[in-house]
Amino acid sequence: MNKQKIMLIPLDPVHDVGLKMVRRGLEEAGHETILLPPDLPVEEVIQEIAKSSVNTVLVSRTLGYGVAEILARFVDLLDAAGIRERVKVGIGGMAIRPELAAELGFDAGFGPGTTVEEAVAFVEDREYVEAKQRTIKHKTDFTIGYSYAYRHQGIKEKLDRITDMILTWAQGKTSPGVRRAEIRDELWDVHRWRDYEPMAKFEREYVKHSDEMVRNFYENGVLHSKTRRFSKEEVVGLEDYVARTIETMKVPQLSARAKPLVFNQYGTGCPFMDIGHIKVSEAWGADGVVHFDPSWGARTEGLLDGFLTHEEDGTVLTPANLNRIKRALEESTLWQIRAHRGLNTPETVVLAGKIGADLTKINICYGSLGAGTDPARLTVDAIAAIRFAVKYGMPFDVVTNEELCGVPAFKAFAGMLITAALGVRLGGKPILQPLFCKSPEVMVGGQMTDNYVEFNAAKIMALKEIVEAPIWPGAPVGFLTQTEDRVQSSASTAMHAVLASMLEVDAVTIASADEAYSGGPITVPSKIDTLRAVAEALRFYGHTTIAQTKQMEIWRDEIVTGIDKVLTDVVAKGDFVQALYDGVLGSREDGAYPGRSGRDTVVKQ
Amino acid sequence: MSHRQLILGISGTAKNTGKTTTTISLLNYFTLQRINLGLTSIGYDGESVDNVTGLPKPRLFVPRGVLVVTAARCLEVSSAKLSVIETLPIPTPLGKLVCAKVEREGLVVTAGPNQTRHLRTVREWLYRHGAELIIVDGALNRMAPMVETDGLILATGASYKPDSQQVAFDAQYLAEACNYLPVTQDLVREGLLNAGTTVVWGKNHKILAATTQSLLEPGELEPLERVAQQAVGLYCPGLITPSCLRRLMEIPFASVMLWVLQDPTKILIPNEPSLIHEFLLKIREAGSSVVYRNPLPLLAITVNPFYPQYRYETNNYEPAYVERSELKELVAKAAKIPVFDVVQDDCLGLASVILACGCLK
Repeated sequence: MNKQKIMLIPLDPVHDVGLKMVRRGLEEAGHETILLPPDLPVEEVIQEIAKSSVNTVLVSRTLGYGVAEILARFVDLLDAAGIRERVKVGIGGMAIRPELAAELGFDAGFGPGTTVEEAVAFVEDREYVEAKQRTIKHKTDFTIGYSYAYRHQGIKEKLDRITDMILTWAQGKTSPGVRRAEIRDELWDVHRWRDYEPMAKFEREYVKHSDEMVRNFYENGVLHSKTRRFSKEEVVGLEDYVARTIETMKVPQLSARAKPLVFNQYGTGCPFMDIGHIKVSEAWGADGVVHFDPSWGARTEGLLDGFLTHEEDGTVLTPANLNRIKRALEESTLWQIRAHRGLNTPETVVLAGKIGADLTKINICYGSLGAGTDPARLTVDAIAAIRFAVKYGMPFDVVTNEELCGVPAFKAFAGMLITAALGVRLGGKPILQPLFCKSPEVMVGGQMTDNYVEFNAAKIMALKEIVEAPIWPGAPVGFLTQTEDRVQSSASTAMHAVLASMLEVDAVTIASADEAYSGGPITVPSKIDTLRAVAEALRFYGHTTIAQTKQMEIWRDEIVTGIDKVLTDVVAKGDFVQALYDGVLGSREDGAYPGRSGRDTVVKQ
Repeated sequence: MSHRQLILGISGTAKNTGKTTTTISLLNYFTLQRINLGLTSIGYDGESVDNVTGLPKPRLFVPRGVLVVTAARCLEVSSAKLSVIETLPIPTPLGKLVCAKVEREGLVVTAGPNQTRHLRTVREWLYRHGAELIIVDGALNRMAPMVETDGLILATGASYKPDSQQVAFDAQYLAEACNYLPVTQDLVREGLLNAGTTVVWGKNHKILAATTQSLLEPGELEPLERVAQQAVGLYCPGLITPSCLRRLMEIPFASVMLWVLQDPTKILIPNEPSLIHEFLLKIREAGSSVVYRNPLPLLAITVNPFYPQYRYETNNYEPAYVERSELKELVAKAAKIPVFDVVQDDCLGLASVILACGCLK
């Protein structure tokens, strides 16, 4: 490239920072620059250009009413003076867009987000090839590198004994959920299904272990009353939307930090709307998305099929729904399908694995004590689910949402550690998911009267003191601190995310600003609110660390001691499942009730 | 300019003065008259909201058969069906210029050539492909590329200045500055205008002094001042800035002078209309005269009472209007050329002015 001579002209009173950045880039590229002082009269600038032998002129100017005319007159003067034919002219500024640059008569316009490289390419007459950010961002398996080694030997020993206890108890037991998962695993071929090949054998076997609603669907084509199929026009519309969106999609990094990864939830009931929400999450930097299914799905034996929309919260788990969503995802987006709480836990893991999910969610204790599933049934199903998660290479988080029922953190954590230890024993990669919010425990106990920091920090510190395992606080962070005020909700979410970042966790799940108050599907602007707020907060704090306080240490020690005590009680009970029924891991007084869904469905193999 | 060919520029004194509305009005009228039309813009036209104020703008609804030259990226945002005939090697911030024909009427966004030399190329292309009348939509207050047109329609109004009397004065000064005669061919033949620099000559057309092409600083006038007493003519092919215009008025030229300027834009762009008026008045009072080497007649004026009013409390703009009939009357009285309100008047009057140019059927 020939050396170019460029005049940089801040037509603004003060705003020449952008030009100074461009000047550095141009000089590094070997070009000669002349930077004029700010705010010279236009006529004087024209004289300077006329006297010089510059090839390119770059102007910066903030726009306001009347300024467009000044800039247009500047270009006109260059043209009328005969300078325009030998000099390229570009303009940059906060409100500048290519359309406005065209209107004003410039050769190029550089608005917000313009890189120095873009300006250098303009000077050098090169076509600027935008860095394809979608190829820069890669999927991250954040469980890699964790040894799952215990730092607390007492707890390790108890967890080993409880794991033995669970596996011994479950030996020779099965359930309709496990049978369906095995049938889905053996007889349902995702490639054949994608090619619309009939799956008669699968369906024949499958319905034997499903309940009436699911049988009615496969045998008579009757759908759940709150679902319907998408029309042909809607499908065409979706495919067009996805194709157009993916074509222009950029996938930015939410923050410069490698962790925490940021996950966004979706589950409006309508997979079309979900896909729109997912694309927004991706476009605003979310690293992953989490699929939410309807609550009735957890109480139903069997899964439906078909591209179905649901008139209430939660998007129905069907192969077609998941397949459509999968096809719309960017390659870099981590995708979690929750399997944790209901009668379809193992089968959901199989389906998620076959369709191509990256992560799943399994927890015996939450599903049993906070989500309505019978403890015995979920214990049998969770063991199968973990084995399938291992088979399909999916790490899974162990969520402690029973805290939201009122179970204190130490009891919920004991349950989480039991499922995690079982997972490790079976070859899985569990991720600890402590609740990171204002739980009923602290509302009653007052641990967050002064601040939200110390108790949340103590929870993470306690887990780190016990085991070296990935931690993914959720779900979502800041839950119950958010209000219908979107600014407040976004700020609160962002601060929780930053705290999690300072505690060096691996990932966080964030909600949309209107998640708790939307009164229906969440809105895209509020999804963007929290993503922007989190990005800004992570940018603001960077790698700043947080000081460990005495109060954090006190609460950390209380939690660790509490966990140890609960595990001791489970060991003493000699039966994990019975311990669940008896309230050792969360009692009725705490707000935890052993579920009834799937009761008496565990059978001998 | 050959028979049945005319290129017309729609210029404005500011944004939102009604350039696009005038363009739409002419497009519709001449389409009905079955005149083959070419359309381009030296800016960006046809957008739904103003790039600066965010207020709604009139959109360019273009009839079938019109030839359009616009930037490649504008095709995506146009609803009219356009068949591309050729892509020109002229870059713009929105991609290269494409030449197309409207196959199905609809909205078109135009961002055409924004330099004089590029408008020249586009004009020739449109003529080659059968355009009889080319309409060049302007951009803001820009004029420079319009030197490639045969004449101007000037859109002015409250968006330029909210004081209608002031709008009228400036319209008068602009009409006055544009409508001087072309230079006689004998001067051209004698080579006085070929130097590419500003020159003064004496009797017998002998060049006495020369200086820069454009007159940007008063110091550049010194060579001319030294021979002022012998000068009978001056030719400036470039810009004349306000400081030089004032200095020129002070130079004691001895005799009646012939002032040859390249085209009206060379004084219109850098100077306030009132200063131009003062300059031209002084020349006339001295018994001297002004001619243009490349004339650019102002054929008519259109007026628009709309202006975007800034609201400090909400940091945005809202539509506002001055008294419509008063604006038109004041401008018509001052400018002494045809004045139209293209929203209220039909297009017949404006079209008849254009037809009176004699080039169209």
